[in-house]
Amino acid sequence: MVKYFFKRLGQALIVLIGVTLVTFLLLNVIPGDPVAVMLDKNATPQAVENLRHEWGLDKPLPVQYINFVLNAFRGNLGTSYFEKTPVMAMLLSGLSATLRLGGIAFIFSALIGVVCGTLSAVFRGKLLDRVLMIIAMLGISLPVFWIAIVLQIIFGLKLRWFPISGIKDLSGYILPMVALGSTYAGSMARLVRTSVLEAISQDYVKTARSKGVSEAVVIIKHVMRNAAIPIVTLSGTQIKSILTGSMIIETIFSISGIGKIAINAIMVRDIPVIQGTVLYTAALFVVINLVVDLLYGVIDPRVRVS
Amino acid sequence: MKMWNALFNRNKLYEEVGIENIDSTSLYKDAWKRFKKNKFAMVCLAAIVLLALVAIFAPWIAPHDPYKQDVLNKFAEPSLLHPLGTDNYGRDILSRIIYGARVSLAVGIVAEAIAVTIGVIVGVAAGYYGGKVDTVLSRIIEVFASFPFILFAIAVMFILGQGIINVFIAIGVIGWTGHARLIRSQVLQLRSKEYVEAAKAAGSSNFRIMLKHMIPNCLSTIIVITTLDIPSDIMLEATLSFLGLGVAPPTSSWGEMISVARTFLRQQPMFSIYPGIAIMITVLAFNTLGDALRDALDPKLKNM
Repeated sequence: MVKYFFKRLGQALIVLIGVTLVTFLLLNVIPGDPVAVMLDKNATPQAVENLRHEWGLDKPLPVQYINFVLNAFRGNLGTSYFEKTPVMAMLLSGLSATLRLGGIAFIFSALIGVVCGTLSAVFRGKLLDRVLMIIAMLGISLPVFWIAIVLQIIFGLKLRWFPISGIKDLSGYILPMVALGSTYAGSMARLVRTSVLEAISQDYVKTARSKGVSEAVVIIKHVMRNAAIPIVTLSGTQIKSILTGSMIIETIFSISGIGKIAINAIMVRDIPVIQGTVLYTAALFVVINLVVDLLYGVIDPRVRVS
Repeated sequence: MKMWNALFNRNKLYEEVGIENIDSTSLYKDAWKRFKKNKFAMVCLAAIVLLALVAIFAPWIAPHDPYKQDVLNKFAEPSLLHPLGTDNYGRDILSRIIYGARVSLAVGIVAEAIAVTIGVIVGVAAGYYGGKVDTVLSRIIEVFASFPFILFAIAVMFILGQGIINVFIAIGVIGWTGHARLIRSQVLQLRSKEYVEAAKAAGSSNFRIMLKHMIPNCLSTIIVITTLDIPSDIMLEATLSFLGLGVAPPTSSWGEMISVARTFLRQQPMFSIYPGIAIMITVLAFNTLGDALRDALDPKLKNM
């Protein structure tokens, strides 16, 4: 386990370096001088030169890259061209909003997914299974932003139960949570159903049943535990998709999370902020991948060997 | 096309050697038999064909010019003249949805073709060569897989600017990592098979073995992942266009329509509903088709 741990950690570090390289290259091929974006057209060449020097843009690219990485590791991502606040501070406040929304949406989708998926598998082929799977398929096939808008129309504009933008109290979370969670609940339910069905047909389940163990205990103790492996893997993907989906939802419900910050920054060409959001979400994803792989190794010892 | 040629030539080879009644495509025939039994999947296949026809013949099917503005007639209620009403510029919503099918399907086909090509090349190379090549390629796959799909696409669109060609590129260059991973793990299993050794002993080059043995044997996986990935590409295009970073106006795209409709939720709530239904039907059809193909082509999951 220790060897597996360090091997995976080493790989994650290499990937992290790759991520910084891609982010840096991506944002350095942008046509147009970032300095020109910040200053108005009448700026003197001297002012442009000063600003380039101030931002370190007059140094050769490899030097700029190394400075970028060193600064990023120190948590210094420069300051926003427009907001004039440190990018890191913007990111941290955005991240807490995104994680809060993503967290509750994940719990919502996982709960619904596991319950519906298990029910579907246990009542395989029955009406309940059919209905649940059709709903799951519809959930997967609808764009997150469309679900959000429909919820806004029905529960915000017509029924006036929940606010349609901003988060002032807990009720503000309901619509974004449902919009964000429903798609992922669908894919979770489908996967849970498949894994439970697979586990249910195993010999040890037959053995447990023939011993006279009650059905509920069989499902919870023998089936669910073995169905957990693919579910943990999907949860990793799921958390990432939810964080990504959250970016769209934030824009629709005006929640100032990472997504809204990133999209606003793109609209005004605020390069340090774009760079920061891309880099830090990617780094977050590397960490999530690492955690999922390590968890995987804990749940299923066979993984560590290969 | 090369993949199909490889299959086809193998049939010819059997004929030349004089072996009859060996049908090397029987896997695909069996799969088709299994597939035909799935009624819902057949309906979805028909829906996709219909959608493709609508997209191709859009100028003849659409009741109005999707770009023609009629400001005096904006937000018109559904009528015989405008079956789904008109938008904020008085443009016919139904016609815009019909034209939107072109964008969605084009993205599904072209962006996915880019993703599959990169994915297959990287996956086959990593799995076949193994060792250092595999280590390097695997890390590259991981690097690209670490970027949030939407954020990366947004950043690429930001650099390249709006336009359908740029949407193809943005979705294609980020969408290949999953394909590469799956193909890599399949090729890893395939490369220790006897026929690969036989081919090597017969003096086949690595390139030939990859082209004639690895890719044809991965073909069913490639077909399934391609079909299952098309809906996510369509969804991503809709999302990009929704954010105003997709196709350039006035090209009509379902995502862009929803984005515009969002501004007029109070005046015309139904305006935002229709394009969403169009997306849902398309994505649902491709998802179901992909699931059915997987069940039909992958006998391991046949009994599920």
